[in-house]
Amino acid sequence: MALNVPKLLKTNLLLVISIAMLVINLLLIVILTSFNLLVWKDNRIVYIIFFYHVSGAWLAYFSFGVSLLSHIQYLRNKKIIYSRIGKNSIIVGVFFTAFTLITGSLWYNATSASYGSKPEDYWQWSDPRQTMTFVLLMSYIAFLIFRSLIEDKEQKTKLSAALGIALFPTVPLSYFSAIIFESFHVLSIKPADPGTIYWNPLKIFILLFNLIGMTIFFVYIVKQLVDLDKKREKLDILIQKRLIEA
Amino acid sequence: MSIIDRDILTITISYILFWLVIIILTIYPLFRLRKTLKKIENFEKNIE
Repeated sequence: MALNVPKLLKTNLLLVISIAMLVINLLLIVILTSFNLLVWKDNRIVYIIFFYHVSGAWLAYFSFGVSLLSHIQYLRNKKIIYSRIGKNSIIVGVFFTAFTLITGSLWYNATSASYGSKPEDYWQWSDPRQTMTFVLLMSYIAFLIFRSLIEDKEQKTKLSAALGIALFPTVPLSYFSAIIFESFHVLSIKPADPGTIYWNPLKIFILLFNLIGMTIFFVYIVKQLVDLDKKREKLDILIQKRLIEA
Repeated sequence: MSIIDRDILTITISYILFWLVIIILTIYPLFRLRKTLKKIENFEKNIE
């Protein structure tokens, strides 16, 4: 079977754009780091983990924000498309929250000595950002399990929309925990120090480029997952029709 | 292991993990969609 490349490109345009942006970004990071053009604290290159860690966190928060808006829209309009967008945004959000937690732990492990902690530490339950993000992840995993347990379609969409809205406060709690409480998180240690990550235009550019690429990727993936749900629904209807006929 | 080696290992693990998440999220809906479309096609053929 011959591949129709122009058609494939057209239908997956968002994927092509986002992957191209992410690859360019990766090359930029590698090249700039190898030429020592990105300077980090104590000359440690482990800090380039920042670009993906922050992008992952951004996409996770963004996904849960989209799910909140979609669930509110669903309860107002009762259009099934909003419920599907809400659920699928949460799936993407869960993946990226887990990714953020893992990269955060690796980053913490590599630099824990500079916080006065035991070297080789991966996890600090006393750290509010780490703990709250874990709570956030568990909450949304519970959401997905809860949703899959309900069989009645109308109940499933209604109850999961309500739960999706009720769980959202864990997102601002996770973000502000490092600002309100004392935390090991980089943002809360020296937020306004000109030498830190947030004040270098080149680093900010790479980060923003990555964020845009990942947001386009999010739009593509949610669209694909919503399409998949539509087709599954069609298959369910066909199966039921067949059962009735039999 | 020296600090630089550890840093490189940490970054490599993180970056591989990132691309793994991207690949899983890209491939999963594509494969499931293809499978579901095939099932729908078979069902429609049987109904006809």
